[in-house]
Amino acid sequence: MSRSPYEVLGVPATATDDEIKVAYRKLAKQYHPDLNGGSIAAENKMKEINEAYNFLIKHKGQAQPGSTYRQSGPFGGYGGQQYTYTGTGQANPFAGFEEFFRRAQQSSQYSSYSTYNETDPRLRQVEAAYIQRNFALAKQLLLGIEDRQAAWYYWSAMVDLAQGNRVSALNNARIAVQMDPSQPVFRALYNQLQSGGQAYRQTSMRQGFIGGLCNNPCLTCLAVNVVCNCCCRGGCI
Amino acid sequence: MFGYVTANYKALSEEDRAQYRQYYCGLCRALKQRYGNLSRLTLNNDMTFLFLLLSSLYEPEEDTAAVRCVLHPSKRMQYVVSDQAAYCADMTVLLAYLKALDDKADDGGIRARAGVAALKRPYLKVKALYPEKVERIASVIQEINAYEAQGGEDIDVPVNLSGKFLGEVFRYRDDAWGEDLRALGEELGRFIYLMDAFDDLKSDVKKGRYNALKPFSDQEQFESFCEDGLLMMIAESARVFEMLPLEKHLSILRNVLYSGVWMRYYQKTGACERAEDEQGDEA
Repeated sequence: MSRSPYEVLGVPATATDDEIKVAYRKLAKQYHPDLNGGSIAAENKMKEINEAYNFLIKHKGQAQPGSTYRQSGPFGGYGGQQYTYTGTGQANPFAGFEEFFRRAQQSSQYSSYSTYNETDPRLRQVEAAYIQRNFALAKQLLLGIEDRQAAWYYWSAMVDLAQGNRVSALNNARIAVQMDPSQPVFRALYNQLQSGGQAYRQTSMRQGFIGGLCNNPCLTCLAVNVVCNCCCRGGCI
Repeated sequence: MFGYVTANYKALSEEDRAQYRQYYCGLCRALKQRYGNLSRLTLNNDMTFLFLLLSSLYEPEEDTAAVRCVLHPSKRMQYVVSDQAAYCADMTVLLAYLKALDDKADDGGIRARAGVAALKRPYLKVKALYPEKVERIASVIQEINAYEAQGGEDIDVPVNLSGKFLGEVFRYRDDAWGEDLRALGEELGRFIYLMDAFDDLKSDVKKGRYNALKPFSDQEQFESFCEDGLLMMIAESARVFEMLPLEKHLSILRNVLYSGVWMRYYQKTGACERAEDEQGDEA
């Protein structure tokens, strides 16, 4: 019989992230291999706890193929999947091309990517190099193009992103949208690049902070006051 | 590049302020004990954040003690002693030394030279403790300096190097948490570099000095571009942070990551001063 990750951590399904963290810490201390003389049962228990924690906290909102929570495995009920506790391995998601696409594919907005047809033959060469993941070549091809339209900036942003150059990617995506606001693919890329920041702002607001909300000071102050009035009385910071 | 990773002090609860203070003083005491009185001048908020973060993550055995301090002669100051305090003190003098070296190369002023001279021995001690780490950090800093010296226009080069540098500082040990801490530090390092460039842009342009944001500064909506870039980096840092199972000092650490890191930005842009004040009064 398999248990839900909530059951493994001994918390209700309504538990907040912070409650899950506390529960995890408590169990991890209890079953830590160092404290259990290398007991196999404790080790398996630890694996199970780690898997549950990863599923709920580390991988949430990042559906990976085959990442459904599973407990069937050679250890009868315990995690069949070896989870070594060495970080996510994807802790720096934007640095890599794959992570970006993994995330991008989830974004419904971004599905329009597949319908975008590059018409400029020089940019099609860039696209071909990009698809082959020859980013150095793609960059070189881009630099060889003198007349730079919105699509040039779009492809530059894509190549920048693949090479882990996020500031340039942001800037180029922004210019692409400014030059051609009507192209949904450019807009989608730009939004995608800003999505992390938006999530951060929301978390920040939820906690009663005003983190980085300076685009529109008047609206910001207003919003902050509303949030603060609702939440700060409750005793959060 | 110091001083950005600080708390929004006004928005901390009374209890959290006292805690923050204990760790700040703990770092100061560790500096004094390990590197002598003069090294306490290098004390900064950034490494206090790392100290709090490591303490929260590892929950080490800690001693608290109280001392009457020269800087606060009227009362006894509580401070925390732990292995993490020692590590953060080591990183503090290391960073201060490397910064002084850079300043010395820049202007050769008397302050920088005095700094290098005073921190040379502490630096050698740190280097002996963590030879590989110090080697890696020093070589990344050299790369940044070289890129700036040649006037490189690709902003992501120094931004990413800066991330690499702080990632190395944050990777306390090569254990289960090493990778997460590195990732958190890396994003924070990128954020700090951008913030520093934004902060210094006007004076750098005036004095004809290198600034990585200069090539962008004539563009439309330059400020909102900077803000988006900053947000992008700090958001990733916060995302990694939120994956760590932290309980202790959580409200202080979040205060820093979601609010404190923007203090300088608000000051600079002036846009949120009112909001900030009002929020401070509310809390």
